Amino acid sequence: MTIWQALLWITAVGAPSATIAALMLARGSDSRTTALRRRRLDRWAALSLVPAVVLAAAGPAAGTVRLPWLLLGTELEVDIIGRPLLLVAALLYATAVITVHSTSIDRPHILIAFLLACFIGNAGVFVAGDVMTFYLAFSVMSIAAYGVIVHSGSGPARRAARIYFALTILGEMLILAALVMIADAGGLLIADAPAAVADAEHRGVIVALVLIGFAIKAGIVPMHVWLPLAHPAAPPPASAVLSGAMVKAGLVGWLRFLPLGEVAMPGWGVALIVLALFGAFAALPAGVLQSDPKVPLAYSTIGQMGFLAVLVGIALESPELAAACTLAAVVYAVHHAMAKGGLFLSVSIWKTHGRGRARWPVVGAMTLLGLAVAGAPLGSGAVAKYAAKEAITPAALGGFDLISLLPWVGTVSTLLVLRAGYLLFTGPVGPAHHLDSALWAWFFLAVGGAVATWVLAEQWAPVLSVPELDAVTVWEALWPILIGVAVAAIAWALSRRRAEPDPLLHPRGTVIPPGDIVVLAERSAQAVHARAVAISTEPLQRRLAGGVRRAGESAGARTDTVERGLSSWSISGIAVMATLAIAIVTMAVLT
Amino acid sequence: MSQTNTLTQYVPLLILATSLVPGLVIFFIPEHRERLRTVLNLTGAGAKVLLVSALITAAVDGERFEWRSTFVPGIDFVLRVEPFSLYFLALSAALWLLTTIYAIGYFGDSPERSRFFGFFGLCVAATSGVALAGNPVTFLIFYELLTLATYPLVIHNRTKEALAGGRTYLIYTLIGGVSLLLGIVWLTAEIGSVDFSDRGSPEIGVLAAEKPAVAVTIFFLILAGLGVKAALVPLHGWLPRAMVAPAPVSSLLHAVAVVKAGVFGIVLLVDYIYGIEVAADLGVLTPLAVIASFTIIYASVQALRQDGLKARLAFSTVSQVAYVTLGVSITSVLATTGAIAHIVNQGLMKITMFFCAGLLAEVLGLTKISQLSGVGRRMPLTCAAFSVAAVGMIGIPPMVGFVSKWYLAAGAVDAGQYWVLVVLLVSSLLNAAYFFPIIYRMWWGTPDESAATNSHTKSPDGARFEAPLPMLLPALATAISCVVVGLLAGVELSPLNLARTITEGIYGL
Repeated sequence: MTIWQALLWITAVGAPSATIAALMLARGSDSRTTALRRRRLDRWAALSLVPAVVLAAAGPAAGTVRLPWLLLGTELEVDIIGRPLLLVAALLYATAVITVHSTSIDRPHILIAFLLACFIGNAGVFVAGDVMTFYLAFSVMSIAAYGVIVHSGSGPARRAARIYFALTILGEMLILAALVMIADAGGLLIADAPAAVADAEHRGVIVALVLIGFAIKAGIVPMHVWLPLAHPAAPPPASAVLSGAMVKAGLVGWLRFLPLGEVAMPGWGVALIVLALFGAFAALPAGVLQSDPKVPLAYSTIGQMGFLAVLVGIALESPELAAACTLAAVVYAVHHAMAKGGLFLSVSIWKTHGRGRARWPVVGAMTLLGLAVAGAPLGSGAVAKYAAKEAITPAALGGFDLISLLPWVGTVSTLLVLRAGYLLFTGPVGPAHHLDSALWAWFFLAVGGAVATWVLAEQWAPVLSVPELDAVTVWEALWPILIGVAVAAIAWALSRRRAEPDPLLHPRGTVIPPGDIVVLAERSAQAVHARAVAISTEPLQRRLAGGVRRAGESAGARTDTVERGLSSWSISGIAVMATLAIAIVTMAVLT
Repeated sequence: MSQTNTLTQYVPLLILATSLVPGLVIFFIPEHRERLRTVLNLTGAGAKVLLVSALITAAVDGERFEWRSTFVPGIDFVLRVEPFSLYFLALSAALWLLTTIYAIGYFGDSPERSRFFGFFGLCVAATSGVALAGNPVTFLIFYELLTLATYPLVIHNRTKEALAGGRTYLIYTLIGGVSLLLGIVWLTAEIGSVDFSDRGSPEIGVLAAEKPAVAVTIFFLILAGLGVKAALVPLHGWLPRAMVAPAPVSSLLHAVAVVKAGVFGIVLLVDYIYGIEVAADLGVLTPLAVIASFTIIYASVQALRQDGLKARLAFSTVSQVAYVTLGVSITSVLATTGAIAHIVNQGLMKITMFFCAGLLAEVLGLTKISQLSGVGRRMPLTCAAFSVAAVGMIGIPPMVGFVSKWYLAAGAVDAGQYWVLVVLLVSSLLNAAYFFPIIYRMWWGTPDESAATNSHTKSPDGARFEAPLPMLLPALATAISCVVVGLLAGVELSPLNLARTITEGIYGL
């Protein structure tokens, strides 16, 4: 490791950390100078992510960091999976931080500090080279995300954060159990982990723990419930990183720790595929019937993470396709991170620029992002689908060709994005801002990012150079979107005819509440809690303590008198001596 | 061995003297000689830290210091310095220094400080004696001394609740002491006075082979005595009641002195009297693991039900300290390492939380969790320190709590005892359930104006800091150490690596 490599790594971790510290500690002599200093820090905070971008660009050239003294031995490396994801994460977080600064969000310095903490964890997940560092990074990200979700302090934000946190802690525990078992099997380094899991004695248990633990972060049904609550509750820049970068940490967890390519686990693979496909389609009704534009976008994330999970399921089921599926998943994840992150940010951008002279360029960029989310233009969705098609024989799934359903995920995405766009365009728009840095950053992300990053990612993770995967026609990628547009047009036409109170054609989130099944879970949890409080263990405890006390009283006869005496220190000194004397005499007698 | 070296054999006595002498002298210092008392206190505590840290390298390199004198014919009074005793000494020395500083700030001008600091010194001296003890009889003497030296600290305020709490404490510990006494007397009668040794004493192996029933009975008699201080359910009842003590006492009680003496004794019992193999062959470890697991879960559930901050922390101590017992009851190097590491780790985290609880109570007059809404804005440093420690308790990296939890969990998997892994994870979930609402209230709660008591003596209006520095700085120091010790777990001479060295001795590696 050269001095330059070391410096790069140190600044990549140190710059955001130092910025967090500065944001927290910045104080002026009065409240006005304090605000001024914080504002200045907010403005430049995004720059602290530049070293991470450089790190991603350097890739393998940045070398491997080995710090045996840190934690229980730390290793960091930018590998083929981590590199493109690190790049999009850095760009997305930077854009989000800029947007926080430019839009009117309450206490921006706190939100920025939490976002940077999330970034450190998020990036750490992508570059961690050992189990312990991975868990550290994953935890930092998960905990810091709480602060991001709860930021506004409103009732829904608190509820969303509570549900998020409960699920997250549960996930942390499952993951910890999995990682302890993986380390025990000899997979302390991530590079050895898949092989270690494949040979582990309790392989099934580990795979189950990894699948469920990371599914919570990745938003796979039925662990997805935090997503549709957290996204509308969090400020838009925060939702952008949640959906863009953070859910990808769940995917990376799968790619790192499942025995992909080592051993075929058809049972778990098919289970994941079925669940993921169910989620991908159930997201449609749940998402379309909402009235807040960020909820359909959140459900679209659930749907698309389901698509990624299908790829993981296929890799788990057929080891020979694992390499292709992994790369396809990474490329799709990068693509989705940029596009979905950009779309969430556009909620903010539209509110501040929907009326000004930037209106039409904003609409144009949003359309581009929408198309990208639907998965068509550059064919990444289609590539992934093609990889999937090769993998599962219809017989494996009881004679039903599930893979023929995959293109329809694109239709679902199209409909959800159109619904979100409709809600956004018909919703309230604030007074126009001047052309601020948030707008430029967002344009850069939408136009430059969505195209250039995708190209770069493909260069670094050359999925298309895998033979038999390059024959994807434009039409195959296009028809799902066209069907989506057509369905949306019909629905729109129908809604124009039917009067307002129809809950299906003019949905307000009443048919299916955001967060769907969590609402039922909350109700039953409340009932259980009420009952648990009613069954008190206090009497038992009192009886136990009472018994001990009675025993003590009978043994000590007049304890009160003794105690009064003891409370004066001189007498308690005598008591010490007396006890010692008794102890010595007993010893002497016995020996 | 250094037995022949006339000077170094007095090292253990010197360590004892650093807290015993100041403690005894302070009793005779008039109440108003504040500076003299402070100087004495800090000199003693500082000298001890220096002395102990100077010894660590030597002890790790295999050097031993031992002082031996005949107590009664056939029974020696043995004090010795070896890695495990030094480990416990280092913890008590460092935290005693910080707690002394905290206590000086806490008591300010309140009356009867000489009595307090006198017993405070005695309490630490007794803890040092427990750490230095080289055989069961010596251990017993200091263990009982600790009980008696702590009692005046618990009832320091002499309110009705304090006296009641003190009485409960005394009843529990004295009855426990009787059980311990019986066990040790019986043991000594059976095999004579044997020294603690790394792999357990050979004599006990003979006893276990010839009279297993006797060996098991003695084990549980001694365990019952130790279990009171270690707060194993159902012997834990005194601990939540003893939290009526002043904050510095609670800090010391929960993090270093009493509770830790109990688990330190349990480690001695399992690994240094019986030896891990003998204990495993006797089949006493599984019941011990079950008791510890039950304690962990039961106390966590009880903690959830408390609204008093100190009450919740007390039940949390019951639960967390049982991690150590759980770890030593699993036959795995990893689990024992985790258990021994947790002696220090739990100490760092819990003392931070009690420091903070004391700060909140003294500065703002808040003692209930339901009153803590929004205090993060008024006392950000205190709340940050508390949050760091609480997150560590849940076992989230990079805090120290993660390191011990990882080792305990890895040990459970290593030994093939997966149910222990489940216990650990459930307990972590419960930890999160009872600690996180506190953090949430502190930082995201809406301050309740009516509950706030602004006019409190120690809330200096317009002051530069949120609390008196002698109280705030120790809390910050321990909070920072919770992170640093966790992050630097891989460094040579870190608590984790010391724990590993000790464990390698126990397993004879």
